[in-house]
Amino acid sequence: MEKIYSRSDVLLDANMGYCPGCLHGVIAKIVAEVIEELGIRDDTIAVLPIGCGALISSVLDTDAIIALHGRAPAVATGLKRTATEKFIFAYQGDGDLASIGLAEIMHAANRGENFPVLFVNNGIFGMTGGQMAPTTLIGQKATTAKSGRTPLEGYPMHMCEIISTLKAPVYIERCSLDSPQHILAAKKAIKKAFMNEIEGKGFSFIELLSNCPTNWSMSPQKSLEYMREHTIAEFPLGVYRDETAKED
Amino acid sequence: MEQRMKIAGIGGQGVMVTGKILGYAASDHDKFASFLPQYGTQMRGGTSSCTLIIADEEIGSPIVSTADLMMIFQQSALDTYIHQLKSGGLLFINSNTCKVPERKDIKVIALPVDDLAKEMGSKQVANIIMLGAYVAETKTFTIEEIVHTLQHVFETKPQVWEINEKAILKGVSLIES
Amino acid sequence: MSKLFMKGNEAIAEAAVRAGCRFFAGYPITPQNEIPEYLSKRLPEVGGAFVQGESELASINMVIGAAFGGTRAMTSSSGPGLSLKSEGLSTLAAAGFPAVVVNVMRGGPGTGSISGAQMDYLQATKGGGHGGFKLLVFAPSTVQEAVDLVYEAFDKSWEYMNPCLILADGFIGSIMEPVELPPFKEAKRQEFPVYTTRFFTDKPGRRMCATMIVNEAEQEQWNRVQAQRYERIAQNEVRAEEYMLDDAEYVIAAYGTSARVAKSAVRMLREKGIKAGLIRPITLWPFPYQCFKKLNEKQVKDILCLELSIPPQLIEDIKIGIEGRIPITAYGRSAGMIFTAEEVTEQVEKLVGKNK
Repeated sequence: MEKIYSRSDVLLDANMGYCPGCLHGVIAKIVAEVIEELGIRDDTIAVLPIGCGALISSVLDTDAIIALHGRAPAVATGLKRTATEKFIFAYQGDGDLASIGLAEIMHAANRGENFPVLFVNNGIFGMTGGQMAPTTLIGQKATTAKSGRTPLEGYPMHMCEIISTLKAPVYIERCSLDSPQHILAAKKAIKKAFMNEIEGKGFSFIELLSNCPTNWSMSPQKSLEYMREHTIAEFPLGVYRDETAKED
Repeated sequence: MEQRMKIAGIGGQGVMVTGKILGYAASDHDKFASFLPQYGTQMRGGTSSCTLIIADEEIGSPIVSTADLMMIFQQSALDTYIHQLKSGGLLFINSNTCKVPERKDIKVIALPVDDLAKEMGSKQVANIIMLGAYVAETKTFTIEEIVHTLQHVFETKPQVWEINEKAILKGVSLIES
Repeated sequence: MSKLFMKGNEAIAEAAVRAGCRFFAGYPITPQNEIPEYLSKRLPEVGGAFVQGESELASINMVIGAAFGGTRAMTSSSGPGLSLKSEGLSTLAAAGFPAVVVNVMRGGPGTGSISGAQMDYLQATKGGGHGGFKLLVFAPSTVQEAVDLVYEAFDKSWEYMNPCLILADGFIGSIMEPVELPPFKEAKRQEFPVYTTRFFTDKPGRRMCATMIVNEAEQEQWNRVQAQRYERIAQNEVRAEEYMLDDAEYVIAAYGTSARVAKSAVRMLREKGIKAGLIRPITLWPFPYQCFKKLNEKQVKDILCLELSIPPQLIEDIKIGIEGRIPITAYGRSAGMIFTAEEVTEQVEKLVGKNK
């Protein structure tokens, strides 16, 4: 019988530690598949965040460094500028990237550093227990916004749009993980972003809309419905910049 | 030998350059030297001063509170620092901008270096004329040694080398004549 | 070999390049700006990389990245910047990464004055960040010594796999002196085993750095490993200069620029017939306690702790060394004000008067 699907070799047979229904595991899977397909496993160094995103280190069979909270783009800058033959990617959550690490992401993007950043936006601080993130929707509840976020706490920050104001980035796209169709599109975007580094084209930014059933206090199924109804409505999917398309 | 000196004036008079050239000369000729600049808060036109120590042995304190020697290019700087010159000390002043002070316990060498520089065709070499006078008077370096160092300093600016060489020799001649 | 007449900050930068430093990231702050300015031009000439970081935080984290990749890397700053970098310093130490960090000290606390001072002794040796880590701290007192210590700091940080701090001050940074530069080293990028790998997850053949070790037993085990490393450094790296101590009745204790002024004062006091001497710690951690422990209380009447800091900070370590056997008096200036040798001489003469 022909084998048409198997688990990626880049994924170790270990416990990821994610809650049931969490889409982080899906990202780990598609990132591993892309690394395998591009044949770059031994050259890859993942620069991981503080937060749930760091847990992919336990399954992703590549070199990795967990950066301090918010500093992954700075660590990746130091690495890529010196270890130029390595394949570097940064992986950050919304608290990490859009709150404490806002300066680092903006300036790495502005310098057009030659690595991609995968930005996982699930609108909440997951690991610390459900506090409000810069991307939490107005009305969405958090342990530090018990009646739901109000404009007093600011509005959800649209990182793709903000980064699109900069000149240097070559590729910016927002994807979602709520459906198989969207996951396939996300994988395609990640592969393209990784190729941009390999081809020396510069900085790519992929935002991945995700969920957090535990801290959203929803069943996994319900969380996907919430994403479709609210999250995607707030954060429109699509390509915000593609300089590489112009070249082709 | 340890010579502790203060060089002072206002920005644009070449105070720092003068101190550095003496430091380069000391370094080139196996002496110890320590140059400490003091900048005012103004980027241009404010007081400018530096301390320079030249010695045969390793230098302890880089701070000059009592100077053996002073090179002063502006009256305001002279007023500020004259009391820090030791009794028996040596004072070089630009007589175009400074009045000879009343102190009788020091040796004063007053030279109209601004006028002399203008006569030579470049206002900017006034400090180099003073430097020539310093070398001739103190013999801290030989004329050959200071010319050798200056050659290095102006290596990248050959267009101004000739006038600076003339200026240093002019300064020497003021003392030796 | 002929000497070059160089400014302290530039000499520090060139010494780093010659020691094989091929990455620098830093943020502008006075009085250390000539270090990044110099390296922005110099590093590309030798195939290295310079990045002006968007912040102190970004800069130290870029150094963490470069260090992980096996590159000899450095950052520099002054007091307030070191405070911002402290989480990164803690992480470098926690990960067991080699790197060199330069603090050209200025006035403080807070934003402080921009002139030279020695306000960061306790930060460098006792605090410096969370988690109880240690940095090997070198305190140069001349431009030549700054060059020699920076050059050596890279080797030492790789030998112990621990970050090394150069605690200079604004005077050493801005002073120009003749220096003999060490030979140029072509340090190749060298990936080292990352110790935290085995504590976090088992991935044979992979380099994995996580200073977050959630398993308590593993964190404790790693703390023990680090404590042993600190013990080795403390055993092997203590350095101090003793000057005219043999018959000294009055001992000045000072490091860096203060120690130079102290040395001049000792010479002046000796000319006046006062038996003065100097202990100059060169490593501030590990501290040369032994120099103080061995002072004979029957001979030494007083110790003057001389520092460009108000209140005094160095005195905390002198007290540990002296164990209450000899009186210690502190004299300090701060904020860019600096004592003259005459002023220090007067302070010692006061102590002589007190003992009569």
